[in-house]
Amino acid sequence: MKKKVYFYTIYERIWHWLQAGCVLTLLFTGFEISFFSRFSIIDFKTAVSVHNIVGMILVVNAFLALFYNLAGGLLKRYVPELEDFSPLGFTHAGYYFYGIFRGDPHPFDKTPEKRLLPLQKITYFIILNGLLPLMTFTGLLKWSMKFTPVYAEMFGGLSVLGPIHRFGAWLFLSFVIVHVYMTTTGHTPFSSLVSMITGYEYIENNETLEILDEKKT
Amino acid sequence: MNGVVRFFMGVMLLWIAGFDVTLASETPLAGTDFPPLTLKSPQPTTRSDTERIHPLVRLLAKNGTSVLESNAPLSLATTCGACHDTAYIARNNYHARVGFDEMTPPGDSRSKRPWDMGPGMFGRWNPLTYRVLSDRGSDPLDMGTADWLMTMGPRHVGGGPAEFSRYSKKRLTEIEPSGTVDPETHSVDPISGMPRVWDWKASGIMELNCLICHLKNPNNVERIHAIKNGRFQWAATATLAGSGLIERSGEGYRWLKDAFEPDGSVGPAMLRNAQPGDKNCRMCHAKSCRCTDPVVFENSLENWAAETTGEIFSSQRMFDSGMNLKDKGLLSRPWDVHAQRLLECISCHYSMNNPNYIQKESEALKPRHLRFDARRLDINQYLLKPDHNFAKGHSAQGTVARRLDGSMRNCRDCHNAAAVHEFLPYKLLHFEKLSCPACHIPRVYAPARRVTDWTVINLNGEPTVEHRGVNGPVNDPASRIEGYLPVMLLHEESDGQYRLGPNNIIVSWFWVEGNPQRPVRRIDLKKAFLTPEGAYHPDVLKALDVDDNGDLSVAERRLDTAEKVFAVALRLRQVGVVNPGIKGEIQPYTHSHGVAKGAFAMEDCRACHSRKSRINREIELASYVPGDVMPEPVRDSNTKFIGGLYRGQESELTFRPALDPKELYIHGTLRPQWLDIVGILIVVGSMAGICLHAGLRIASAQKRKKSGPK
Repeated sequence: MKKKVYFYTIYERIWHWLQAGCVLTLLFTGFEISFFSRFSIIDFKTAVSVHNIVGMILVVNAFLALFYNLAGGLLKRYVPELEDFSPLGFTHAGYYFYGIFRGDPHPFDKTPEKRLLPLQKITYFIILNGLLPLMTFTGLLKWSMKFTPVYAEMFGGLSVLGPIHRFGAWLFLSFVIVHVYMTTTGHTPFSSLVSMITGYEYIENNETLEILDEKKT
Repeated sequence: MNGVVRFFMGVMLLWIAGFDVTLASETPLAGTDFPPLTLKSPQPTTRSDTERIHPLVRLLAKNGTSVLESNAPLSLATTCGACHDTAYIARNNYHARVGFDEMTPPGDSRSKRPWDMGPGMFGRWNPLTYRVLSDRGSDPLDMGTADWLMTMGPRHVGGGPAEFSRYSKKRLTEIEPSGTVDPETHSVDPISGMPRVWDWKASGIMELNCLICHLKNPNNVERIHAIKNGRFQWAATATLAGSGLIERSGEGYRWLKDAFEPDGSVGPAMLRNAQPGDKNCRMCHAKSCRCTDPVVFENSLENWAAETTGEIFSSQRMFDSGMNLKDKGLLSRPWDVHAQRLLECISCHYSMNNPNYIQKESEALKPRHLRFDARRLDINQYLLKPDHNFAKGHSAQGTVARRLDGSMRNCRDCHNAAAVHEFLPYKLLHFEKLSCPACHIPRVYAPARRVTDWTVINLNGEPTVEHRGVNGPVNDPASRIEGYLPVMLLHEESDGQYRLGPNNIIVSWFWVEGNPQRPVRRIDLKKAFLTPEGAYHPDVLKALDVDDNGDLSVAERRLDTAEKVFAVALRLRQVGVVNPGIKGEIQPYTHSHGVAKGAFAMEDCRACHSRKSRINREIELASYVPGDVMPEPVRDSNTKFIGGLYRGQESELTFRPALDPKELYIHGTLRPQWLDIVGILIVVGSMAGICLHAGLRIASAQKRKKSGPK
């Protein structure tokens, strides 16, 4: 039996797509700024301005999400526990490296409360606590040079901040590519994508459905 | 209410994006906002009226008697000294002292050349003028003080080394020759190259020549004539030639009594003295002018600034010039916007105690409780002791009086750069890392020297010279002048910060000899290369005359093989040169004139922020490398010469800048390559992994489909 379950609230979806749009725009404009002579679709000055504006939107959106999750007591769902590394992480990885090719069922079923799978938790934890703050911090320091070089110089100036920010961008690009691909590993290639648009996801596992029903009653 | 919120949000976003949120701004239309004063053919500006208020002057000889009575040379120290403290003026005057007060033992100057004795024209060797000022004990003598005066005197105002001994500080006329050869009592015979005693009493000395700067129409040609002929005491008098006060008479000049007032004085109308104008500065620095005639460029060492940098300080628009410029019809900008806006040399390079100018106050010297010190010299005090250490900028080539570097108001002291530059993201960062000329001298439109090669001289005893920015012989009116893009180098500015700025680079090669090394004397070069009749020596022809026509073309005057170097070195040894070797030097010349206003300045971000940026653009320094000797940058230019020298396929010498991103990180231009490679590998690796994974998924799904359900 397959049942349509409401997973993602409207706020979560807007947040997700806004962040996605921001990240893609930042990658595009950052690419434009960095490879200006080889890759020039919009002019340099516009690229810099758009990069600054969108970067600020991303930071504000990230903080709003932090507030949302803190206020709603939802933050815990993003924090991996020890078992998420082992044995669950290994089971999860084993599925992608082996089970998926055999047509095995997915070892985990998502629920609206436990929507992040072990590897997702670990990845998002690194992204949200490592890469995103690093990019925000280096980006803000670079932006602050517009007004004063003092703060950026405290951290080595552009010669340090520039390469870190740039390397972070490569990692973000890799993340986006892998993230988009991973959405195709759902029930159908587009089921995860559709669920992030509509908010609904289909659940097939009877046990999970029972748990959900119990919670409902 | 929503409208107000939206407005503020909009302003905030614009502020974040870097837009200036000033609501009104006027953008001048390029080429259409001609100021009314300089529409075309600007007339010389009306000079101040000092000539009318200057009192009558009695022209005095050194002994204080009227020149009419003694018919002796004019002494300006005595004449002007009647009212002005000429001793003070001569002392506080780096134009007069030209390094005389900064001399060091040979090899100890900042240049670290073994033969340099200071940072100024008197002591620091310049490969463009070539001859070396000799120190005591130099054998053979290359250039004694008298020789220096005859060689460099045309561009020296007098006083300092032209008046006093560098060793005893006595007047040169008071020095008696001893038995030994001494650079102050001996000069070099231009024919034999042997030292001869110089009679200072006959030649006299060259006092500080006030007239060359303070007359409206000084006769510099006559002054140079007197200097080159060793009649130093007559140099000041010669400056008055053409005024009606003197005429030539034998070895000297005769004063014309009728031109004087009955009491023996001269009125300002006759003398036409005034505060210095651009024309006076041009006597030594550059020929181009704010004049009604079209600017005609002439490359030569007499046109020093233009020869070394290609700079022209003129208000004239380029398309009005008399030069064969590329795309001339499109060049509507003036040669220099400051000249167009009626600034003169002394507007920036003023006397530092001139009460007309509010001098930049040193934070270190100013009392802490004062933001502005209102105390000023009154005009009488100033006129008695005007400081002639003029405010000075900072350049790679301006090595003299470095202590005064930055005493001039710089661009930012006059212009409120932050108030404009609306288009520029990260204004402060750009101002921090770039000198203003980096963008405001985007291109040099006149040619400039790039090579001086003394390793083979021509029949006139001159070096082979190459220029950049011209397609053909440099002074040929048929040659098309294309101009050039200056080289961007990091130069230390007065605040201690290194900023990128535009430069011309001149490479010089020359023969050195002995230990410690010094350049081979020019006279020895002539002896080695030329016969007494003025033709090339047969041994030189045998080695270099490829087409065997008995002469050396420019292409043949190149030491491009080891055999040629050996042959010339052998010839030098034959004329007594000890252990000859070739040395090369790179001298940057900072651009600070030829400034364009905003509409003509560099505004294209791509010019710097791209892989083909003008900052790391490869530049050809020379079309060949004599003797395969790679030149080295001079050490006293306060400029970082970061990059590598490479030989091209045609043996040309190129400079490839390689600014360290740690020094200056430029988006799109300077970045660690390895970092991109690692980044790309990660991205490509991710994509490859995905493709592999997706492929295997598809393949396994098809396999399962074929084998049926489990």
